[in-house]
Amino acid sequence: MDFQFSDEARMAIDGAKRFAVEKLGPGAAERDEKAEVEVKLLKELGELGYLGMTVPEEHGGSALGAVAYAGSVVEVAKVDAGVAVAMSVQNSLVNDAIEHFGTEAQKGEFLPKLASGGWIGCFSLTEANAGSDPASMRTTAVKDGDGYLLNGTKNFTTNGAIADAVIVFTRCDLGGKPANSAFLLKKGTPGFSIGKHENKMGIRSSSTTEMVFTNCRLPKEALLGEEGKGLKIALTTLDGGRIGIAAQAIGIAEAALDESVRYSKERVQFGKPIAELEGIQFMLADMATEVEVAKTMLFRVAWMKESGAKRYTKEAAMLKLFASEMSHRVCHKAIQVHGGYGFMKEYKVERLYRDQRITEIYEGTSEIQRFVIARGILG
Amino acid sequence: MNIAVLLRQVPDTEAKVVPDPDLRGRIMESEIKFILNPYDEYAVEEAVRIIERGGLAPGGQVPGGAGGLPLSGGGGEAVGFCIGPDRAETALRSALALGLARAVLVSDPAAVEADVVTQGRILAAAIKGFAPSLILAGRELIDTQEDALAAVVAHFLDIPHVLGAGKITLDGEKAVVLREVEGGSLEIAASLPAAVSCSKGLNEPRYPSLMAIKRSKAKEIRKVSLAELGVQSGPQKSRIAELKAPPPRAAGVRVEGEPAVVAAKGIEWMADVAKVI
Repeated sequence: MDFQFSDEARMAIDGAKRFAVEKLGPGAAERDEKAEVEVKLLKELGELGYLGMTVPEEHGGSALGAVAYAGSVVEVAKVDAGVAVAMSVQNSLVNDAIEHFGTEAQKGEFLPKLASGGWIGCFSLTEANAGSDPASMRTTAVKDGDGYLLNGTKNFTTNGAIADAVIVFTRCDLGGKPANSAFLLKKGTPGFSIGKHENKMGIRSSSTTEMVFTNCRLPKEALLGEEGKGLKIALTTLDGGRIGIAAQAIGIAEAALDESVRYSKERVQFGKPIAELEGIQFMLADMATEVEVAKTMLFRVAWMKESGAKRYTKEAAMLKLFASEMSHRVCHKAIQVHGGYGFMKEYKVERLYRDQRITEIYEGTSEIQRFVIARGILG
Repeated sequence: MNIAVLLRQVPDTEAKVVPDPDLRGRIMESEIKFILNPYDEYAVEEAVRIIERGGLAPGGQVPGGAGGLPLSGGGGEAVGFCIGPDRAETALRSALALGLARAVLVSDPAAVEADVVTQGRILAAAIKGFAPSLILAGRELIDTQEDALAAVVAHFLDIPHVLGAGKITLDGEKAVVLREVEGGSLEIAASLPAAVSCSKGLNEPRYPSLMAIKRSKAKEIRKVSLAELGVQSGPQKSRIAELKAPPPRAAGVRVEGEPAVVAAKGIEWMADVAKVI
């Protein structure tokens, strides 16, 4: 076993850290407060190659691999979890889905722009009545001459308002049997518009919107993967997505730990820094241990993906479940270490606590992860 | 026309530096992450920008001579030169990702442990064959605050050295260097070839792109020995005799009461006990 990063991965992660601290750090609290999405910063990350980390070089990616990608998301999430989720969606949902299921024409048109940050992408799966049960989606794609006609409304789409490229999942009719299909389209396609912008509890520097399709006509070339295989495309892609969300959750937790360590050394109660009190020390020790365990798991699952493991569904589910719930426990303790100040917006842990919450829900709730794990164990 | 960039590796700014109890004058290295000296990044960025602009116009260059490395790479190149242990390769790799064409590392322990005058003499020998028109370096090391290396290299190459550049303008014959000083600025013209130590504010070093990081892997880091350079380290002229951590901060004194009383007591304490006024 070798737990060393490659030189390239280490440099990529160091670069992400520096960009996050220098470029994302100064405005992070304000973007949260005002719910501002800063596309320019995201595109700068893209220009450096961080939005195409697993895209092959022939399609304009940097192809650094899942380990470097996971480590980079951790560093970005430590500073701005909203930017981290945008980065995760683009890398592991949008790019990976196009790379694995797209036609050569789709790859050639979309991947170079996405991998270089020229375009932002989104992955529109959820609907108001189809969350954990995506098969019950209502958005339809009906054959219309040589193409398809899409109707329906998707919601909670990350990057929705800023997306140039949209992957959308629909119901379809496959020889009389209901099934699902995936489509890849561009912003500006007639019949497609952005609906409601969500006002969120956390990750407020990211865009989350409804996506509205009203007689949106797509040519047959817009189909992503095989007709009727939409759900399989969604679920396979989400295995990789879970690495990104786990990395985001771990970054948030690590930031909460760092803030707590620093605060506990500065805060004096009973005549000494609270870091000298065993009650605080035990909390910090538990937090550090949990972060370490999750990080080890993160890089193992990323390594599985990178080394071409056919499926890592169970492991990705375990990772996402543990990392997100770990992040909850760590952020909870971070507020506790900070006492009343942790409840105040002046302190970063308040934001981290809110940002963390969604990691237990999106790209598969903890309950869905447990279901996936159980199925993996029981066969 | 070539540009030589002097590179060194230092502990990360976030690293907790602890003196090594067993090795006098050394720090505990095991837990420390090392990085490219941050001031050196300004030198690298400036060199890369000059090359990207099309290099230097023809002009003075260090004449190549016996004992130098046959390093000529054809057209204008920015190449890094470093004395350091094997671990310094990671710092060189960072500089390559920022755009240097390649790097030369002298890793003989005799060179690594030598004093700055000897290191300057060794680097001058390494650089000579490269025949640079310009030698750039960071203005100081962030760990030991040593700032002499570029001047020593210039001395052994018998070329001018200018410290602390905030701006460098080049023509074929000279480098015009702007240095911020107390209450104003100096403009210093140095004939080429010249060595210039770079300050913060000279430029804004770029973030290495992931593509540049990948490309850097294919770039050469050439390790050379003192024997290949035809130089000897010689006896140390100076060494770090002792390295001490700062004493832990003592507890403060709390003065209570009315403002006038507190002020009087405070002054009394500063004068009689702390003896700072």
